[in-house]
Amino acid sequence: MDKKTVPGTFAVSAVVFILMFLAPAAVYGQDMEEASPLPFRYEVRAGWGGFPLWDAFVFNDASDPAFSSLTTLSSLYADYNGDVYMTGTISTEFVFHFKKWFSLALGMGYNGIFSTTYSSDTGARTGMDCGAVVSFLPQVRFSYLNRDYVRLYSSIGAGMSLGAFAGSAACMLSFQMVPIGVTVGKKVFGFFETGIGTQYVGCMAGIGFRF
Amino acid sequence: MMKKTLLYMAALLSLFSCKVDDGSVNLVDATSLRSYGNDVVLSYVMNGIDLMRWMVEVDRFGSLSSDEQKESPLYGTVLHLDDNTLEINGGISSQPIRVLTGGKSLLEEGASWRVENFKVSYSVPELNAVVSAAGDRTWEISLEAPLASVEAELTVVLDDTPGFVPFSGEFSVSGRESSPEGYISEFCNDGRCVFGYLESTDENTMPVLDDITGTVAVDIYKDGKRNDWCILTYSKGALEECLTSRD
Repeated sequence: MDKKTVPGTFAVSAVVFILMFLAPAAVYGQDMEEASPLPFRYEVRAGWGGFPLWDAFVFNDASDPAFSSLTTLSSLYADYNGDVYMTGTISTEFVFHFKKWFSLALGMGYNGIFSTTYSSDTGARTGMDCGAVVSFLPQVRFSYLNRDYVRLYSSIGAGMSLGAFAGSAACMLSFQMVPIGVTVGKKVFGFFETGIGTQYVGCMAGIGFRF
Repeated sequence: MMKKTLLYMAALLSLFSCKVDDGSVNLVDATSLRSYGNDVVLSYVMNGIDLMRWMVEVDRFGSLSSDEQKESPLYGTVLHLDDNTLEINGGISSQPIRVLTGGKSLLEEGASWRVENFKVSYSVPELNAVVSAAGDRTWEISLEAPLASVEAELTVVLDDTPGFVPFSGEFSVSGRESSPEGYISEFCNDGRCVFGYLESTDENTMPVLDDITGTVAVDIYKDGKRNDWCILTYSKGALEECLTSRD
């Protein structure tokens, strides 16, 4: 094979490669147009769970005393924080079903943060520091098993998060991927999914309603 | 009914919340009191004496010939804005050190120099001060730290050495710091205190305050009652002993 034919061969191979992936989508689309109409066009769901790994990382040092090379009277007697807790992400979504296999979910997440504060003078409890991270996360959802009562899906999405705790604030991009999730039920359903991203790492469960 | 629901939800959330960070106990103890006391001495006693040293050097610089000025560490840093005002670019504040001399030398009776934006080290706060000649080799310095609620009075009596070289003498100090949390600290020397400078071998750098000997006491009050105290004893520049209320 000489040098002149190599680029040509690659170009042809690339076109064939792309067509191989587009063909099933085209066929699938045809199938969907001929299939029965959507039983439900909308869905609302609420869930909780997962470990808020990214939020914990972002606000890890918020409760630690601010570093200063000099000790002032104010820093000497500043209250300190006890253990820091997070509620985990509580999410709500409104979902638009465009196809049986494709939907768009508009979700809001809330992760509460709280920690008890203590007097550095006496060690007595002085109050509580409370904060939260709120995220807005649109996701596209692909269902690859659609039965009347069971669905399997995956989703991926990106959005924004705003958080504040113990004098620190952050505005961040957020990202979430669900490799696998399952819903059980028809009109009223329960769901369970595994996910990884800035909203949570681990599993989330909840309930929803389709209409 | 609504209150009960909210209470149950809060209880449920607490039950299922996860701990993401261990808290750090940060009680005031002997170590933190020692650190605070030492920083008070560093920021307002040693920094105040350093301010005095700089003003004596600036005053001397003005009386040198142009050849002698070229050999001074202040060469190229002192700018005469007018007969009463100097600016010094040797500091590290966002603005140059500004000195209002009133047209008098620091050695003259009745001289009173106002110094603004004095900060020559990252480890001490910026100071404003009024340096007043109070007689034979004696100056009174009224300091304030604009970014901290601190005021102090420092009196420096220099040793009777030619041209004040080496720069050494006695000092006495009394000052006060207040915090938004309602704590007030009062500090002063306890007995005779002396200081001395290590003369620099590099003509381009200012000498370093390296000898401080004496005792400084710090009392901290809350709601009019003494809450904590520490007594710091220095010898040849090193903190030899520190007694605190939390020992």
